[in-house]
Amino acid sequence: MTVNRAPDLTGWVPIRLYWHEDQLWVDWGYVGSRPFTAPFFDQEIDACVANPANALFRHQTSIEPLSAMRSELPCCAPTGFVFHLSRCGSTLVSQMLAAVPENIVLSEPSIIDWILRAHVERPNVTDQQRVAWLRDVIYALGQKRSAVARHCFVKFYAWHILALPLIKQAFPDVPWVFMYRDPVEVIVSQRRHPAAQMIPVSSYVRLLGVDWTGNGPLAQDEYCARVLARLGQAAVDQLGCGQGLLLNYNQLPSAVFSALLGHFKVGYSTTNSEKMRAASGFNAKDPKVPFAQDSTEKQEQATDELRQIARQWVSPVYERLEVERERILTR
Amino acid sequence: VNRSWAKAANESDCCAEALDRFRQLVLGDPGLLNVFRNTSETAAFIELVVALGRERGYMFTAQEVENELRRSRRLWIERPL
Repeated sequence: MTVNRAPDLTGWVPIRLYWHEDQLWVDWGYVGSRPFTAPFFDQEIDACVANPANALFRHQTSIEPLSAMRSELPCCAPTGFVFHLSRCGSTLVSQMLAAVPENIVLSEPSIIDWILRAHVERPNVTDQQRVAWLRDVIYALGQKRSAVARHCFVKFYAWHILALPLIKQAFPDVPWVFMYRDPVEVIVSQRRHPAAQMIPVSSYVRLLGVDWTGNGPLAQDEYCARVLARLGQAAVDQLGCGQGLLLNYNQLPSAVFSALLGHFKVGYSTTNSEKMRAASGFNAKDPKVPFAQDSTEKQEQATDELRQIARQWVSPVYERLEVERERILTR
Repeated sequence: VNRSWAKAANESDCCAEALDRFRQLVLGDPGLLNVFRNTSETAAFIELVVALGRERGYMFTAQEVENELRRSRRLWIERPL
């Protein structure tokens, strides 16, 4: 159902953008004052629409109420952005941040991915439009829905590091971190449960710009390795623009306290720090299960061929990331 | 046959329109919205929507509500990923 008048959107967040007769429309979900603590934002919305009232009675508006939201309702400006190579502890970091009641953590909302890909589906969509939508959506998702909300963090999809220049147009002063891990371990994880962007399907191949003509039994691993190299290189390239920090998986969770919080210019009470430490003791993607270090297991599963692929395609970028990480720490 | 088909189609349109107008009414009434939000069991929720709609002069069927509920959820589930 669609309405044109401005509704009261207190407790509502944008969950989906869509085209209707060449106009951009917004589908809203009611989340009330419930904190976002699920590993991924879209899981919060799954829970929201599981309630039949929230599924049936949803505002669907033109773009204007979204654009007006931050002038009409209190919203947090983003505090920090988390980018990553995939399978490298970024969800652990977002879960640690989400353990603090004053933090709003937006973990890979699909609505942000929709914006960053909008120009692929519709080539007439301009960068200027995507910047404006991104700004509006992130502010709206950061609506202060509780009295204690102060900070808003966004964890992006892995491929979004390629869109960092555009994201910086929307939020030039927001500090960001790029997280990465030994590529052998990332490729082993991706081989087990491949993410869409690590499979050579057309929409992502175009977005990632990886020239791909591979075939054969190791084609999937090689494509994954080349994507990882592309993402890592994008992070290195963006370091010169400032506001960037690098974190290796093997520094977790202690580097969250020793490096990341300071980089994001936030500090927490002892109680909240304890909550973060407690969150780091659980599997980030399945918080009912205790965390188990799996680097050794992943290294053992890596075949010689997989190691060769990682060495050939990703190691040079990984080594560069390590050098840059040290350089940033000592400056 | 044509006349009864046309009649059925009109009734269906009429129901859909009534449900759409009732949804707009509910979205503008936080108290009524809360009543519905507190009914999380689907069959009871559908029954309540039909009953409270009827009380306010909006005539639609339980099947219409169920179809709309399914369609609304599908819009979220089938979002491009």
